[in-house]
Amino acid sequence: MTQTLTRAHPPARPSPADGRARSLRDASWETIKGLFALEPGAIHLNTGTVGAMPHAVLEEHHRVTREWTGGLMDVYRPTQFPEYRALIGRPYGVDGDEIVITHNATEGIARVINGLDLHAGDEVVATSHECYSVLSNFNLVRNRHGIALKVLTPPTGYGVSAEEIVALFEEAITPRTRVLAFSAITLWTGTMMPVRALCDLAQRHGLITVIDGALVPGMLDCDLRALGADFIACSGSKYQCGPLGTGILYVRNKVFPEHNPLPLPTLWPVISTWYPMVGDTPPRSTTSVESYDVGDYLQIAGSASIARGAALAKACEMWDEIGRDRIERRIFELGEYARERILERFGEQAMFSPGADERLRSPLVAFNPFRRPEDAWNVKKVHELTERLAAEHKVWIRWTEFDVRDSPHQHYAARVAPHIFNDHEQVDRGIATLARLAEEIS
Amino acid sequence: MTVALPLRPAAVDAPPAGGTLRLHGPGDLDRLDPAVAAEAPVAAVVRLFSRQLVTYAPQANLRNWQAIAPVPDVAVDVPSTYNAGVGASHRSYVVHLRQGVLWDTSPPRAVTAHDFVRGFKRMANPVTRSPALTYFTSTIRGMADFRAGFAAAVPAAGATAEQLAAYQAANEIPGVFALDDETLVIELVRPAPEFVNVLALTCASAAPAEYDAFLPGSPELHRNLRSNGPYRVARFAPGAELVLERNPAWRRAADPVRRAHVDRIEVTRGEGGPDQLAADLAWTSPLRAPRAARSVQAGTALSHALASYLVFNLADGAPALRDVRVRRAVAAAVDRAALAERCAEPLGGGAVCAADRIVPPHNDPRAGDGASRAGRPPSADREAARSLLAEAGCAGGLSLTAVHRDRDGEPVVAQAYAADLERVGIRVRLVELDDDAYRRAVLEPATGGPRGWDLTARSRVADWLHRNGRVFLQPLFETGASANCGGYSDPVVDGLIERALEAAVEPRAKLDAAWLEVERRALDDAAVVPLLFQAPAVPRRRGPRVRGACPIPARGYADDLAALWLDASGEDA
Repeated sequence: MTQTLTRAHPPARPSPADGRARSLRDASWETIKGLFALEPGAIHLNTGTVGAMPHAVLEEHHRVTREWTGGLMDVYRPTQFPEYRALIGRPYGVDGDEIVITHNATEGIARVINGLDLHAGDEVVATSHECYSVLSNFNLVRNRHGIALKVLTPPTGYGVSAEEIVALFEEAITPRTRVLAFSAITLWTGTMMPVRALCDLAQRHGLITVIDGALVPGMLDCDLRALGADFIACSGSKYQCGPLGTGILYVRNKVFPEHNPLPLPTLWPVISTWYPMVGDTPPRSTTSVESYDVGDYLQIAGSASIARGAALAKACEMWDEIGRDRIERRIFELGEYARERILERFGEQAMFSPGADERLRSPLVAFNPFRRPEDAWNVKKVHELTERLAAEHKVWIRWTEFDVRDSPHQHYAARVAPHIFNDHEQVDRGIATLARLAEEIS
Repeated sequence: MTVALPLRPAAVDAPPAGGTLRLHGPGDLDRLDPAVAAEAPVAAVVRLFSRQLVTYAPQANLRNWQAIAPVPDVAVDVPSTYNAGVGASHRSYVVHLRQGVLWDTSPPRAVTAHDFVRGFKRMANPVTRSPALTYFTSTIRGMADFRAGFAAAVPAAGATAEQLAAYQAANEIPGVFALDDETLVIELVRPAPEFVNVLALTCASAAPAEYDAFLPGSPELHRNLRSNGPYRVARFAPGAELVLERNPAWRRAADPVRRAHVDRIEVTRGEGGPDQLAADLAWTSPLRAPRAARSVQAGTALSHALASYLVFNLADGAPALRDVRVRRAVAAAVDRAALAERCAEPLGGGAVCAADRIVPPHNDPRAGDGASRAGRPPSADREAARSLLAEAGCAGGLSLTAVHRDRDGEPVVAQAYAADLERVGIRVRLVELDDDAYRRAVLEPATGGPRGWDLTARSRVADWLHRNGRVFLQPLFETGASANCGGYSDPVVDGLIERALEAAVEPRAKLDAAWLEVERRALDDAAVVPLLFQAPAVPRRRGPRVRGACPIPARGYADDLAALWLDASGEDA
């Protein structure tokens, strides 16, 4: 379990209906690796972009699609996904009314940002290391409603500490600030942001927290409610390994003072067929019992693919069977292994990901793979590196781009992001190949 | 942008090639060096031999968004977030260059990212002022310092090409660098969503290494112009004649924008009137096609020009002009409504009206409730003018010298405002200058000694049409800006311009408000006197042989000379 994303209480786990859960819980990583639909011989170190679906998830998607094709069944009720939302929320310590199955993290973040009750002069604090979907939607709201958007560039590099990051946000807060927006784990540098500390900061100032949690599901064994955030928009197809076009949105819908004592923020459920056609919604709850199911308002939005909900639920079910605590340990162990190999070959000065502060480490490691520091702002080289790694060696990584504080240059990094379908030998081979090729390109 | 003016779309079936396209008229024909050439009208011919990273395509349908949006030229793509050409901070642009774009050297040589770096450096040279330089120095990281260092190291007077080349070789613009031959990086000091329009300006052209041997804008340079476009310069006599011929090194496949139907293009400079109508196209302030007369009002929905505004020489002109009351008196004395009536015909082109602000209609910032106005009726307020002059201690009269050229209605405008000023006790001596003398006196940086004028009337069209809040206000009023030929300087205005540039990412209303504040201050300070606005001339008058003509809206609605062809029958299309 990560130190920054701590669980307040253990979630109830589904009881395995057959022996498969027990067998998966005890299965070797080699066996588990065999569950995934991966290209033979390829080394997939790019789960930060998209994971690999297990065969069972793929089959579930096909099965449900076939089941619902050409029938005369009511397609609207099932797309409310009440059972799947409850199943998905359970291991994260939250209820179905707090969960929405979306098409991706972008949809979740867009619905939240555009649904916030923001007005001209209100201020939002975000970082330049957010996914474009966060910055573009806040810009949309800026243009539409006249809010002010303050974009911070967080520190990068091996020696960054959580306190630096929290202090940066704290300095940016003014009496006009209404929202803190940040990633749980940044896509570009793989920084595990001090989520709980930032939510504490927000709560002290009475602020709404919007978290891009694209990488959280399937990686972290955590209690979403205990993070203290108001909104967490997640991907279902990255570390959770659901189909492309799946996401999970957590919306705080009741007040647990031990996690977040602030009143629930107003949220206008844009894109909805469930929002009342006359009148409005009941008042929001001020207790630990919801006054209405905000998830329904967000979830019910016309016809939808029933298969994607089923397939995402299947992936979550598999994770529960394997054991989310076990998965998190494995991913972090592979991530640490990758970090050590990268440090050995490239040195601390090449790292854009944090390392010295354990709290900020995630399994995603971003670094300059080239000999010269200035090659970190040469997009051609890093692009060539990733293209050739894929084409010539079947090693899949990603290059990322981001601002670095006090530098005028756009920086580019190679990023590796292992998952449970990788093993140590793949990490070794992938990084060794990367290093050889980077040296050649240098 | 809305316009109800129907333009005939160019035919798409393979048009006949060949023939000589002839242009004739009194328009500028003095400088072709891309780094220092003016935008209009020479940009219409410069773009035929000098390509930019991005440019504008001709567009028959002026309602089409692409009429005002840059398209790739030497760049493979217009840089954007979605092709990794612009970072999330919008301060870093990566431009990938197209293969197969060649200089007409012997043997032909590829245009590289280093050629664009050289082009940016040449633009900042201290010898010849680039009209659009301020857009670059205020936007690109380190370019202002590069320019200042350039000026300090190589004094303009007596500078040699070797000195300029040596400075350029030894110094870099920190925010402009080539990753390799095919990749250019441009870093900005602040986000500037309009920056791709800046890259489409003529002065952002590539420059071959051969240009290092010549002074920018010099006769020697003009005798050695190189081409990477469909035509090359065969003969050029500044101020008199230009002949373009086909460039054998140009490859159609490597140019997504330009065509080349005619074999040869001849521009001859001369009087307007019937002579220019005998040519295929006019080389002057454009003439509108007669049949479009009833569409004038419809055409007014397009970006207008600031067709005439009075500039005060505050650098070395009459000391009295430094008193804002005198400048306000001049502004109050001119009868703009009468001027508009009198100048409608001499100015040709689209409808003319009295200017009530600096920024013409259909440009940013838009005139709205908060728009600044001249605050005076278009007719003269002579009482106010006399009173202001008296307050300034000029009750006994004031003598000023005004310079103008013999073209494009300039004499008519000069005589009209001179007569108005006489009526309030300001005597104006009108001096007509030839193009060269006018350029040295008004457009070039002062090199010491009085320039011999106090007033002159200038005109300005928008350098681009979308998000263009800066195009009229920054070049005219920023201290040291290249179009600020009167030497106006006000720290408050400079600060307001800086604030407006910083507001580039703010919502439209806030951005407009920031530019309106610049305009308001400039008007209050009578930094210039806006006189006339003019609608663009679309469609333009064309000779009977011309077919397939299509305007480039962001280039002053000028016809794309590479797109049209000639009908040998010569019957009116």
